[in-house]
Amino acid sequence: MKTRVAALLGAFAIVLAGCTVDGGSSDDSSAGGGEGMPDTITPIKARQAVYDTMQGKKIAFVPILYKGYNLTTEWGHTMERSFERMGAEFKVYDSNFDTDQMVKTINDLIAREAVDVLVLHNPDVGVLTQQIEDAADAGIYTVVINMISNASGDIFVGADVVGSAEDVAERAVTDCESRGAPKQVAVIDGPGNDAFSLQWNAGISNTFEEHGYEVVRTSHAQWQNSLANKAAMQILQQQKDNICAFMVTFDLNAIAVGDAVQDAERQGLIQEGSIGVYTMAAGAETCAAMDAGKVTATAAYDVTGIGSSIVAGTQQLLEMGNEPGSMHTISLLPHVVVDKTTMNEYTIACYTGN
Amino acid sequence: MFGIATRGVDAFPLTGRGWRDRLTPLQGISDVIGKRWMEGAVPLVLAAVLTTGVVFMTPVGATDAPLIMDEVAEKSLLAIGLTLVMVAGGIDLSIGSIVGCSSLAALTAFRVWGWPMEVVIPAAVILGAMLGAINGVLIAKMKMRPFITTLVTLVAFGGAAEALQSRYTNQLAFPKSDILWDFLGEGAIAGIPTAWAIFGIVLVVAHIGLTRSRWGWWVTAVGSDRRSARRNGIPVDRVVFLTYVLSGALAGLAGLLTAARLGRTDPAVGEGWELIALTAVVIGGVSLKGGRGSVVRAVAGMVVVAVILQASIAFTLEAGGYTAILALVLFSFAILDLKWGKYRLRIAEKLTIDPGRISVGPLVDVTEPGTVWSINSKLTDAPPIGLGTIEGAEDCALDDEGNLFCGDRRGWIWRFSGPDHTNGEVFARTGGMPLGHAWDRDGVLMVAVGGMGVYRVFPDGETKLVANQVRRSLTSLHDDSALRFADDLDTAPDGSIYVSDFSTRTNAAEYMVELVEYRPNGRIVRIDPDGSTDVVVSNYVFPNGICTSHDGQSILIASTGLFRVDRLWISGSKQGQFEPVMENLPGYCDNINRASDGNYWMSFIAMRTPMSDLLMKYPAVRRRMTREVPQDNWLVPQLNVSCVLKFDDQGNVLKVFWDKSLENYPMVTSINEHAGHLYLCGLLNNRVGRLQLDPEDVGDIDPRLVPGTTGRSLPFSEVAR
Repeated sequence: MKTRVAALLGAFAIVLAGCTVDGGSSDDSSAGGGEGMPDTITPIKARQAVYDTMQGKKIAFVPILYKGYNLTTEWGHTMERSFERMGAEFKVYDSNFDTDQMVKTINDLIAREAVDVLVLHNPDVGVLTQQIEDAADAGIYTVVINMISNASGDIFVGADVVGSAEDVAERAVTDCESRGAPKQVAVIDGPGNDAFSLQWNAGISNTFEEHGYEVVRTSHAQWQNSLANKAAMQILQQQKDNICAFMVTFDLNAIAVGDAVQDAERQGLIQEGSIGVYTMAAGAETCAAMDAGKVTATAAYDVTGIGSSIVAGTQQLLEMGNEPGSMHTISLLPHVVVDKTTMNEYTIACYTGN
Repeated sequence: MFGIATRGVDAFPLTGRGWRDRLTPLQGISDVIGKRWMEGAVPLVLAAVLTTGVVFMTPVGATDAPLIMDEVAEKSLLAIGLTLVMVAGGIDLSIGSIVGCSSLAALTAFRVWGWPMEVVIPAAVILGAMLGAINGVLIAKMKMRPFITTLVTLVAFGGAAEALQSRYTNQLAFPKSDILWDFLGEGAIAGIPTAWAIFGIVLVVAHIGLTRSRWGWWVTAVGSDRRSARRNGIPVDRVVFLTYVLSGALAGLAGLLTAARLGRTDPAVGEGWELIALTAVVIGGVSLKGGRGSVVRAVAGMVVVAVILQASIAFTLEAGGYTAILALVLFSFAILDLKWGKYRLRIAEKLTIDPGRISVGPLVDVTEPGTVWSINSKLTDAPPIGLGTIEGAEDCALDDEGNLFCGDRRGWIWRFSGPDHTNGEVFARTGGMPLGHAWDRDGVLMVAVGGMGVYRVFPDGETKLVANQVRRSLTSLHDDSALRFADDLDTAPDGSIYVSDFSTRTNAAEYMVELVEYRPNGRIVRIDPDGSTDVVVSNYVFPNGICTSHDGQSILIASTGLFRVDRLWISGSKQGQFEPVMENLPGYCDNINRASDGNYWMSFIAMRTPMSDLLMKYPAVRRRMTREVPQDNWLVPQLNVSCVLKFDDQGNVLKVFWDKSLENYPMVTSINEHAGHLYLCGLLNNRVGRLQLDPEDVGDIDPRLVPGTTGRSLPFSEVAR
């Protein structure tokens, strides 16, 4: 018996001695490119230098959802127009709301070193951390867009979600006060573990706390219209006129919430015009919904600008040729609060996805 | 496989056919698909072909191997758990949701509640086991249907995961670092990624547990037949309960590993994994009906699924595309499982009878008057021994005290003592079919027991195994190690025993199959005094009678199927040579025994006819006959003749005795001469005949003695064990 215990302990010790935790090592390979542009260069040569840098580069875009979604197709088309004109290869990998699929796609691209730049749209602040690290190790740049994560990649570019939330909440407060409505609001966000929802909630809290408003309910609609609609209906049945606004993180969900509000009005559950629906971003559908009175106001952020920033950022990364993962920049884009009457005054509102 | 496993003297040329007739392709196929491992092998081979196809036709390559392995390591835990449940006859659809629960619970406990990792790790597994226990209680104790129960718990546990995620969503998102957490997610044990190592350990333990442990056999027994498992005292409920607990615990472990690797905090973790695990398990040939399956094969199935998944990713298929492909694969393999499981043994059975072709020589007409063969009634009036008590004595032996020992189809050996052998008693019980009898050098009775091997029978009636197997042929698919059909035997002067093994494929009870097939499946085996065995003649058609020659230098072998007697030299200058003694006899030979005048006695059990000879040329007809005609109506040599002949060492037929009427002796399988009498045995007779020989036929040799020995020191009744 003693020898058996000793043997077991010995075996255990050997196994333990072999245990390691790999923090990930980075190699020195870079994605190629130069060390930036010279101090002075003629316009024609400059243009040629950009084209030379981009020639044959492979860029992959892995959004949460692509087909039929104006937001990501807007960026996709911008990238396609830019990169393909310059001789780079551009490809979109649609995850279709499937995180497993997204992770596997990214892992596969990294494992096969099939790309030079990965443009990522992170569904969850934690989930792609390892992949962003692995990409840097494999000499691949990462551009993270709109959904900031704990690992922000070489470049992050996206909306100022907190700022947008603060500003549109301010608008909600103004509307509520003008009606003399109760100082209570409901929030319908995404999964809740994602950057957008987290920042949105932080932003609206800033404003509402300042004005003494209370968030009575927060529902996680997982970005699904049906869930958003259902959540809104439940809240309306429970709260009736006790809330003055729905603060919806995702503009397409806001339309579904607007439908629920209109239904409730028709059923006489609430008084007409007693509850506003507020959101951020303003795609063409959202503008149409505002026109139809389903969405009250939105913080329209520069979606087109994000697409252009990705294009610019990618070129900068490749021109500078720094080691992937060695430097991180985070840029936030502007927004403006618009409603039915003002939405056509701003170029950044009502983008079409083309 | 193709009848080419030759050892010792190759007797195949005696059939008069070329090498092509050695091949038994249908039987080969039957042998292969009849193997137990074929059950899972076919799905697996198809899966391997599928995988190879995918690897060659898609961008998936070596660089994807670690990704595939990650996937396999995590999801195989589910497949292993599911295999255990399915082998026990159940199904567990809730594993996907258990993964979600334990994954989110582990993240919540660690990130939100701040539990130490030393607690979180076992807690996640225990949570999985507890959820599995809920399934177990509902199914094993409350007798609910596994499918609907786990479908409901799939939804219920999924809801629980969602509620948990919703409750802690904001705090869940922010990662926290811990050495153990990183060790699970990105660490390695001796260079092997932690998840792979854990998977490897689980696989080995589960495989040994399922195949080598008592509990594993219980699981298989319960899945094969619940009722008989219960009747055999297996605690069915406990076994079933435990499979669900294990499945839950493994799903919990998978959840923990995926949490550590990906840190996903959305409630969809694990969603659809049950379908992936189920596909893998079915591809691995685990039966959906229970009782059959192996965790190793399930893991191989998971490799296939992972490769397909990787290919769909590399091909950038739409997310729905992968699911569709998976569903298609699952569907095809489920059909394969159903059909293959159902028809495999049936196909094997259909192909197993694979008749061969034999060239037969000219047929002697025994009815022609004036030849040595002239039919007479010499045997008809031989007085009977044990009339009505004996049932089928194939052979007999007589000891010094005049006791007659003979076999019985019921497995017994009779002893008839007294002046006229009137006192019959069951002397020994063999449990098989006692056929040939002979004395060994020490005067102990040796019996070839069909279906069991060669046994010694001691004076107190105790039997002792001498040999029942030989070394297996390396080239034979069919396991030919057993002595299935030991028929006759005799002792050589050096003490070794020569045994005829009528067929390496069928046992004594299925002799009809052998008569239709007519293949050289028989052999002669030598058992050395130390008990070791060796094949001395192989590929022989129905070796039957065995008799050591009077000079002790050779063994006479009667071939029932080829109507001939051959001689194998076992000592002297011709040692090892094989030569014919008699060919083209008119009947089917049975036992040979020495006569007291230096000649030999042999019997026929059936006569050749033009019809039986004709059938030898048409194996296809015989094969068709076995498929379309009931066995009773098969055209095979009719075992209904009593013909005893005496021949000399040169193969000259000297005398032939018949029972023309066939009334008393419808068949004679063996003749033993003792003290001026011939003892007539027959496998279908209800008696042993005792024929008084003419003085001219009696010499002074004791045929019972092993040639070259001079009598025994003790009578049989006094031989020590």
